[in-house]
Amino acid sequence: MHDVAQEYRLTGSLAGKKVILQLKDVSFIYPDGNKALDNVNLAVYENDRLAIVGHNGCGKTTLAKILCDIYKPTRGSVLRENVRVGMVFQDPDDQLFSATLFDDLAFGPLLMSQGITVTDATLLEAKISTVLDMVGLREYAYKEPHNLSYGQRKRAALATVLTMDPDVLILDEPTDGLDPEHEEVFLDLLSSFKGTLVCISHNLFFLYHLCDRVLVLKNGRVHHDYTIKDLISHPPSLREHGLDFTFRLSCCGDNGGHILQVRTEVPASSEGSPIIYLNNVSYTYPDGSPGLKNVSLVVHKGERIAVVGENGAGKSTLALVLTGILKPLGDYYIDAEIGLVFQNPMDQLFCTSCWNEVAFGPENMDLARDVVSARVKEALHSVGLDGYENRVPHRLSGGEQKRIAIASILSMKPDVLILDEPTNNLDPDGERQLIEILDSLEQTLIIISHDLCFLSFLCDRAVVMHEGRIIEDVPFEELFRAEFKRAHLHHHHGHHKRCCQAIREIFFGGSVT
Amino acid sequence: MKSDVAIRVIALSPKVWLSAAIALIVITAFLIFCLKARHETEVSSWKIPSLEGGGQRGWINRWDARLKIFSLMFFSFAVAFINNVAVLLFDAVCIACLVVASRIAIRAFLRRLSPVFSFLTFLAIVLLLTAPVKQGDTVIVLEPFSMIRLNLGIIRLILRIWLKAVIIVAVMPVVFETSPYSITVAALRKLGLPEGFTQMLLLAYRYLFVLRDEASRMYRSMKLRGFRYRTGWRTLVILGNFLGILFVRSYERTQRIYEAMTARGYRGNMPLAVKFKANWRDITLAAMWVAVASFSLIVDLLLQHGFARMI
Repeated sequence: MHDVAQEYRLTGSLAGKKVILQLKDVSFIYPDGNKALDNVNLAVYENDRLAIVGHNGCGKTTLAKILCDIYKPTRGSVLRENVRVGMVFQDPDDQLFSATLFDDLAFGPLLMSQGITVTDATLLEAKISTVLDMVGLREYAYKEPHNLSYGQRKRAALATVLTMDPDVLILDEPTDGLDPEHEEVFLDLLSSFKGTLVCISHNLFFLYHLCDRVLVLKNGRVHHDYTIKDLISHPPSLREHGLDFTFRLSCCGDNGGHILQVRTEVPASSEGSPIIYLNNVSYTYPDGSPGLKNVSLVVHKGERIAVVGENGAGKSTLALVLTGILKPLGDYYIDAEIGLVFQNPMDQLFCTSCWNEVAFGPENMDLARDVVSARVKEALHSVGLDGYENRVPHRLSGGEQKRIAIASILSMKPDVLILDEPTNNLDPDGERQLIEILDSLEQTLIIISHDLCFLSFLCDRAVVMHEGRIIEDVPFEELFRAEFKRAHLHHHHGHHKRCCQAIREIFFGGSVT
Repeated sequence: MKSDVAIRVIALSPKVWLSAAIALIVITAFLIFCLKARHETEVSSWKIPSLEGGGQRGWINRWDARLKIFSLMFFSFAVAFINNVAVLLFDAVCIACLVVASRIAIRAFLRRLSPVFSFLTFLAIVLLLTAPVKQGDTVIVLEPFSMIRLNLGIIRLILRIWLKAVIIVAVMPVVFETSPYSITVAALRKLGLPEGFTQMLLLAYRYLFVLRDEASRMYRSMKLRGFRYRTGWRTLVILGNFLGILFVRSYERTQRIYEAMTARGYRGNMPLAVKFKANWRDITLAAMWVAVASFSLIVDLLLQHGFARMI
């Protein structure tokens, strides 16, 4: 089974389909000498549903850009069967560069010379309206992109490509930073797409639903070309490529319910005075939009709290209030040093070396040089990055950047550590490492995430937010009660659950080799 | 003492100038109050004004952007050439009517004018206190402070500068806030602005907000890790790193944006999604503003050189 660069076996719906994109011995070297792709051979078929997976930096995005004709291969050839290829980038802000959404959607069709639809403004408007309806953004057509939420911007980025009627749609991390509800919207949109689909993602649950075939890249080479079921049922391959997500299956019960993980530490008791006390706290942003409404929260030392809720529920605002960056109205006190790890580690990393980055906080605390040095070493060790002192943070992989960001906070020895979407853009291997690191910490943890499975490994209490309010504050296991989900989790995890069940059948139904 | 004979002095009693000063303070306080009050649609604490164009609220909003820009620019240039205060006052009334008709939020409008007000106030104070008094000048003395002599000629000059600056700057919100930004830039391109420049205008406006958000998140993270401004080398190094990484991120983003544009067919030309079509009402409006500007220029010339001599 573990055959390197095995030719994809045409089965099922792809049998008899013609090749529309073909890469022959393609290599790509960046101007700085970094070899991103090495001798890649790939055939993409009509109506193919291809997932591209692999470690960060293995050449997935470069391959997508070559398929999309953004990059020309340094060596080898790309054959295109008169197909239009569209690509949705990972960061929607890269894709939405016009002053309004309408202009962005019109950009592609106007440039791609689509016959009558290009010249006829009415037809173009009709086309744009149809696509906006499809992604649920009709009323935002004349909005400036920076006034849309992240989820809306993601959908808008997809819409800019859909207006071009692509035969091949390439997506780079489409679910990155989305809540489960938006993930499901994306899944529905992409499932209904008629053409060929190429999807880069670490999210195997999402890919399992969407794709039939999976291309595994390693160091710029095609390592495997499997059906997705073949890959998932082959744990050694998953482990080799940092894709081993099977730890996620361990939190699922036989009948679709979730089993709470047992924490290594004993949960904190609610006795003693709280370190965080919020009573009817509210915050309104300068533009008038409400951030928090009458939020009450009590946190004791040693607790591990999950904050869940849909995008825009007020989770990040709560974190900023707790750190003291935003000054709310209401009765509150915070008797603890609080550290916040941002969603995007690059927002936190601006020094020229990892040592400087981790030492930044302690140095601002005016600690003695040897104390700073000891704290840096300790923090780097706790996140498993010993020896990284002289590395440039900007050049690290996503998982390493996340760990450096955590180390930069841990070196300040905060009493409470808040993490905002810590699993964003991490591969399953990175997620597992992160769970181990966080589980080993003694600090009080407040973790903001949409990922209930990840949270189930770490948290013993759950705070559910909706429209700026805390609507539930319950023991974590309560979250998995079906009736609770229906009543309180406004973002649902339907496809995750369906996927979990299907993959469990592969694993525990005897088909795993 | 001999030169004082040729200078005409107007002495203002304390009652007169104090009343005028109080009135001025009240008006200024009112304006400051309006500026300070948070506007409902204020975008952020960084005060990048929104240029949403206000939908289709009135006839100014529906005015063809090319004609609007052309006629109002013509009007602005004409105002720059006018010297007569009375004519400038007439133009100020005209532009005030236009501002009212365009239904721009008054606080946002005053906020845009506020930098000009500050600059002009400083200029006025410097001019008033430093301008020399020559023979034949008329000076105003505020009794009992006879040592402070305000040159009437300089006051007229200040008034002229104020009126010109305020009228010209007031045209800008009307141009930019009554049409969506992209349409205004498209109109500028139709009027002959180089395409490369218009592309930069569009991208700069869009990414100003993205850059602002990135910078504010990075600054927040620095503050959370104990950063405070100090007067030392370390603060400079940190700020250097901050700006450096912001530059690197922006540079990388420009590369990705270019790639995203290329993927959608960009080969150096931005397509125009706007189709301009002027109707008789657009042309009439533009002609009206050109006429007002021409009329002001002619009257100013006649007043400067004397009607009889001109005839």
